[in-house]
Amino acid sequence: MRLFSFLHIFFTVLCLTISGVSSASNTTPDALHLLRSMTQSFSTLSYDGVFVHSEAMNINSMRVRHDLMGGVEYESLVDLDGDKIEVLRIDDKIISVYPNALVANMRAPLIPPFRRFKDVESDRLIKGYDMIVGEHTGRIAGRKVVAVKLMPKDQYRYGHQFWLDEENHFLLKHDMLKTNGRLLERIQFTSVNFAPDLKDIDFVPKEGSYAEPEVETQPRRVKNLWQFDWLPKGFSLVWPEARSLNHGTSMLLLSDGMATISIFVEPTMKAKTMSILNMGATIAGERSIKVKDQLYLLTMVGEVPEPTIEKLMTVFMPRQD
Amino acid sequence: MTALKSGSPQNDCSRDHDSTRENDSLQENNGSEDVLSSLSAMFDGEATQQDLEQLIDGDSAELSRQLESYHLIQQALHKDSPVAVGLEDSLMLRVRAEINVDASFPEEQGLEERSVNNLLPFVLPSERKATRSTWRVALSSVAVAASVAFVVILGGNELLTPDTGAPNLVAEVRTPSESMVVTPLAELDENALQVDNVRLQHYLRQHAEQAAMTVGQGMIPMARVVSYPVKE
Repeated sequence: MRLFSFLHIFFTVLCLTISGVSSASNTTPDALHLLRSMTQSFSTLSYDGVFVHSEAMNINSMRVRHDLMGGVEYESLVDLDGDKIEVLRIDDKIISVYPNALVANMRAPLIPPFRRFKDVESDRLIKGYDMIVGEHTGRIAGRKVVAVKLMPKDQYRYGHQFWLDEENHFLLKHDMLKTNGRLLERIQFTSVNFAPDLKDIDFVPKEGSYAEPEVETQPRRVKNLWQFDWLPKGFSLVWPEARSLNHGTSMLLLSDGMATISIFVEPTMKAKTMSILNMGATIAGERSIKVKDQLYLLTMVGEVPEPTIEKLMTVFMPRQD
Repeated sequence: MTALKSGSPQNDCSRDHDSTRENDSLQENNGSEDVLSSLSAMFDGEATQQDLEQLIDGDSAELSRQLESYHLIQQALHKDSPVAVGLEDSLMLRVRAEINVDASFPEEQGLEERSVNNLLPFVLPSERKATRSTWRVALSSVAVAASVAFVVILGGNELLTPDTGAPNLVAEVRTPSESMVVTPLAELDENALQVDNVRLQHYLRQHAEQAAMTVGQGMIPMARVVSYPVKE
């Protein structure tokens, strides 16, 4: 009888454990499904909303609009607090709009970004993060939301929490968090309309404003001459080639599916010791490296902890294949 | 490599490879010629065990010079624009590394798999460097021949790549100091921006734009751009 009781308890515990494990293992696929749906919602939904972006000591409110008209994707982002800068995107073409030519000339020219990713890099994400879908729903900008939490598996990346519209999985709030839980950056919608009456005229620069001319969307691809001797798990190069910017600068892009790190390398005449700068979640590192007799200035910018940038800057070297 | 065979000097060397070697002892620089002859034989895919031993024991500087001249010949044959070579030393390092790695490969790895994995022995995971098995010792001469030939051919192809920016393979790497000072980016606004800071602003914007296209959140990550310092 005692043996029977023991076996009964053992199997009960075993069943509970198995059910616990199976429910925990469902969280990652569920989270990935939601993140995938969120990514697609940015391309497929029509929306007109206002959100607040806060990091460090800065708070900005911005308006974002998006629509698909005649098979063409239109998107605009307007700074509501500052210089009334507007960034327009028509498919993969980016146009910067400034209130006047004076402000426009103060800004560095926009270089068109590369083709947008429209899916979630699930393999990379799984390597870098544990993912949980929140059990309870909440409300943001007057809409019901479901929470998805990404907890970093190591100290080389930040944590993320997303609050997605329960109905269409649009991102309504995003927190970037240090491993100790400290908030680094927050984006939160205060209002959003998913049935806006947008017309193509809404994506034309206003009279009196100064629009930067459109630039060709095909950036110059060049052979990547560089490599990393080490990368945090899940991080890899987004493009196989490097991108050539102005003045002989090559740009590489690393990503773990959530965080991105841009690498800029250019010849220089001046040796520079390593320096690190930060603003909110963004960290920038600079140093010179010597290759044979040539000095190169290496700059890395990313939304990752300082030690990640520091370490990556010491393992960056000429490619060996 | 085909181009090298057709009329190149080293092809003649390889053709007379065996007979030349018998008379080498009578020549003043016989050792150097042997090594060059072995190198030529390897380029032609006719290297013997003796050739490999010559290469291993050879003067790497001389080999590097010879490789460069082969490269120039290839350039002339292919009408390529002049390129900076700068890779000779690394090639010889690879040959040596290849041989060293061969001496420490795990027994469970097949020859075919090994030849692929050996392309870049210096980036192999550390756990692969295990002890050498007895049957591997028995096959070592074949394995060394195959792997060294593979690496040299690979190196030859690499030299052909018209990549004028090809840097040397080793960067000076310093470890970061433990007490790294982190400067708030906002402080850039407080000082008159110098050229460095203008450049950094440009990079910050470029980063924000690319990040926006990568993380699947629409243009929202570009909201960071307006927070960056912009004074000039």
